[in-house]
Amino acid sequence: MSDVLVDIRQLTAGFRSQGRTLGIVRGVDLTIERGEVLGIIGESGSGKTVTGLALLRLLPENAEVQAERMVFDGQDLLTLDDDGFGALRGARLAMIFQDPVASFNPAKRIGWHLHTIFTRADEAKARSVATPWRERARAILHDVGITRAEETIDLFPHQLSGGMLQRVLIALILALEPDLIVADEPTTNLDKLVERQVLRLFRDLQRRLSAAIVFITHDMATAASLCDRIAVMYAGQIVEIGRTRDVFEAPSHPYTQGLVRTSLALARGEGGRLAEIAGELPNPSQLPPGCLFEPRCDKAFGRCRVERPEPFPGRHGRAVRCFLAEMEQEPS
Amino acid sequence: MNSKFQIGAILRNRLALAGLAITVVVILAITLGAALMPHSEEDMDFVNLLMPPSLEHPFGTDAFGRDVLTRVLIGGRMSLMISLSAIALASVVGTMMGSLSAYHGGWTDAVLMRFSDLLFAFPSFVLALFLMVVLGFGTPNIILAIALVYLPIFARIARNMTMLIKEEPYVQAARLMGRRPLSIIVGEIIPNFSAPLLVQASIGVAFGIILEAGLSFIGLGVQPPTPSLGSIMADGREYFSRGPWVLTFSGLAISFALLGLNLLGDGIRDLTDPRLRERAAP
Amino acid sequence: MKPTPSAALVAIRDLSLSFPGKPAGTWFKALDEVSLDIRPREILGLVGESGSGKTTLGKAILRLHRPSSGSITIDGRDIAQLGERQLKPFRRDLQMIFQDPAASFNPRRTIGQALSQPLLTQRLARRAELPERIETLLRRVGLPARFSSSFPHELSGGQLQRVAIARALALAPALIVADEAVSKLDVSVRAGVLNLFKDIQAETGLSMLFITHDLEVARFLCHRIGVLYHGRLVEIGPAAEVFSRPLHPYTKLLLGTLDAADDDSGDIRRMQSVSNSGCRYLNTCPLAIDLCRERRPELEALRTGHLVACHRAGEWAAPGAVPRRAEQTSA
Repeated sequence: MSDVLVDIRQLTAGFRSQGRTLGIVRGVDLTIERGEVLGIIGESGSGKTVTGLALLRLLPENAEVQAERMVFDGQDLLTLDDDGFGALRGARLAMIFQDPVASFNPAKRIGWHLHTIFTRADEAKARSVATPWRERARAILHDVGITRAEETIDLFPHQLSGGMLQRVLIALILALEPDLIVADEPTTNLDKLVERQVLRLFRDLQRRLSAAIVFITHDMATAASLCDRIAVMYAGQIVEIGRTRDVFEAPSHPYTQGLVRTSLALARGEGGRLAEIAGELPNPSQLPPGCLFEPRCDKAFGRCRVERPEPFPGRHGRAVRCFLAEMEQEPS
Repeated sequence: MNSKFQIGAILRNRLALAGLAITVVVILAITLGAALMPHSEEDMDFVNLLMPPSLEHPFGTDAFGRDVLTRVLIGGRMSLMISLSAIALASVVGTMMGSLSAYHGGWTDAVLMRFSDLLFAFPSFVLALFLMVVLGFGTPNIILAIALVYLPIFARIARNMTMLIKEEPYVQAARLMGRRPLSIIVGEIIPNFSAPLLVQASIGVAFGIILEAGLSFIGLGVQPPTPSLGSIMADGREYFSRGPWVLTFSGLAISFALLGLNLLGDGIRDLTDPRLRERAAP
Repeated sequence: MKPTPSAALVAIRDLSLSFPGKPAGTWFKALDEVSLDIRPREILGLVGESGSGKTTLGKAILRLHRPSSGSITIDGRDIAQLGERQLKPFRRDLQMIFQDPAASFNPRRTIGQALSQPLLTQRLARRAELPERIETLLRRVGLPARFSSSFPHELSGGQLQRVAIARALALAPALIVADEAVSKLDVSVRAGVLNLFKDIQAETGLSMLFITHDLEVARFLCHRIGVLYHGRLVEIGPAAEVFSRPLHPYTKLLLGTLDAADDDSGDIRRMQSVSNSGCRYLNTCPLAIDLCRERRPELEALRTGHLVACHRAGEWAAPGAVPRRAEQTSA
């Protein structure tokens, strides 16, 4: 528990548009330990991507980000200027996007990208490596399962398929050896078979680098297969966080329960009807006064309509934003 | 995407607003303004030939003693009317041509597009000159000539946009309902690229005014004594050394009108370009 | 085994479709002699990876594409080569639901207008009846009647996909082709839309061709499953059967049952190289033998209603049989 890499308290983020600010992330508390894989699950509009981008200070100009605390490896991110943050991002933080193409310079060969990263990583770690870069590149491409590494070095990004590019991107990150990787739906656009292979690479990556990975996804099954801990986001808040097994075996928040039930029913091939969550995500400009999930919740009662629940702590770092969880735990 | 949003957005965009304001001023001037003028564009005053600008004649008088301001306003009306009619004709025919061509593909597309390539191959002024010679003088023929010069531009836009939009699921859904191609093109496809058409039309009207002025300037367009901006300039050129105001003011009038139309066109493009709009409101 | 034509709602035989490819002058075979029946009252799932031709097949059946060859027989008539005008009477019976709900609607029309279009075009309702008909349609898919005056951008993806279902239902079609109809929806609304598909099929008895890359969704919804691999139908059979006892090596790979054996050969390049002679799956297949190189396997029924295009499938079609690698068998 002592090895905390990232500590965030009360992160809020929103976008200014036409004179007002539209809130997307509403008070997220998050600690990420060194070497763990933390899954952030949520639907579009839940704030999962914005949380990831805010963490790496990658949000556009019109974004407003605030936090009580934002610490990375003992360094206060809130007081760090843009240059300092840029240096940090280039060496110790990395981001993987859903569309791997966007991460490459289309006019440069794969080899150039690897070479650039090698140089940067060596500078950051203040070391000099005697091995020629081509050899290092070949070795690292082999590591991510690219058998024709020698050819691949001389290809341009557009000559590779999406799955291959995502592999090369993982190779780049292996070369960079960052301490924290934020991956935003890295497998969503890939075919199932390729997705399976890329997920396997992520596990290798984490094992080899002992880096912390924040894996953002909308897919319960993907998160379950990869992550040590899971944070479920809804309408800009973490509604439930805990160890993957705990969350899947005994989901506590009604929203998590719905997601897990549907996901399990599909995975087990059950017939009949699926459990539905009625309604839609709330409009960020017309939030319900009480619990944000209350309008869709079939267990809501009077208090949920007037008061917004705070995260209620449980065992093994579990926290649930639901009055029911609080009531169940209190007697014991 | 609805019209209410666009008008509101135009008012918020300074460039578009300036363009709109200039265009409105121009239109008011050539309609209301011309009607209010104390002189008629053909009233000759042989006592006051080539008088410099004064209170009585703010733009001065020409070689026949006619009030230049009145003539510029009436001539502007003529030029704008010719240009508007030509662009209206070009946009309707060109858009239909391009859309039908793209929707059906095959040899229809090949024939129509080669025809438009042919029109494209000539410099626009040379083509207009050639058409005027073939068609003969007269206002309807100027309209036709300008329309033919501008038609391929609309056909191109319509073809490219239709190519993109016809693969959209909502167009395919319309096909699955059993709707006729023409109804799909007019009802589903064209309304969804009306913005680039509008941009092109406003720039086209400016372009049409230049073309008309050019043709009339060399005597192939509107015939005297009917004033158009081109023919006023042609008159003014002859005695530029003695009365420079005639050419200067009619030229400035054209520049002013073109400035307005181009700003408006640019403004509309900025507002309807999704990349630019997203930056304003994510 | 050829299924009897009378049993099928839509009978597809040897359907091929080629697109002009790169470089110019070459042709890309998106569909290669696909034969299958869509039966009355069934949900037929079509699974495969991107580029397998599943969307192309769906659109060809609806005649949004014109097939290069082969037949599509519906009501005893082959519609494969009909022109747009001759297709009009068939249009009513064949509807589609698209992947992207936001793109399925003309952004400039209200939901009410979108729903009245099919009714007016096919003369199924008079103008005066429209408000009532639209309300019924919206109710049917679980939406409030007030959405009638909303514009598409005011609705969420899940709501729009329900409207798309309503639009397809407006014509009371015999077949709905749903192309990845839930893959762009958020998880919490996906279950509801899947249930709706199931309910509607059960209530109306229409047939559905459900195209998806998500095997779990296919298993939940479909009665039968067809597996496409690079334009070829490699396996088709009852859903439970295909999932519990898949016959084609590619199906097994998709389902993950061959995962452990294939673990180390995760070379994506190899995965993508498609053989142009013999079996298309040849280069990836761990079980390929010489025959697979020489002759293209055709669909054969190895169990009742369970067809597979694989020369070796007979070896493991019997209960208890285990596939063995080529080296072992040829030795």
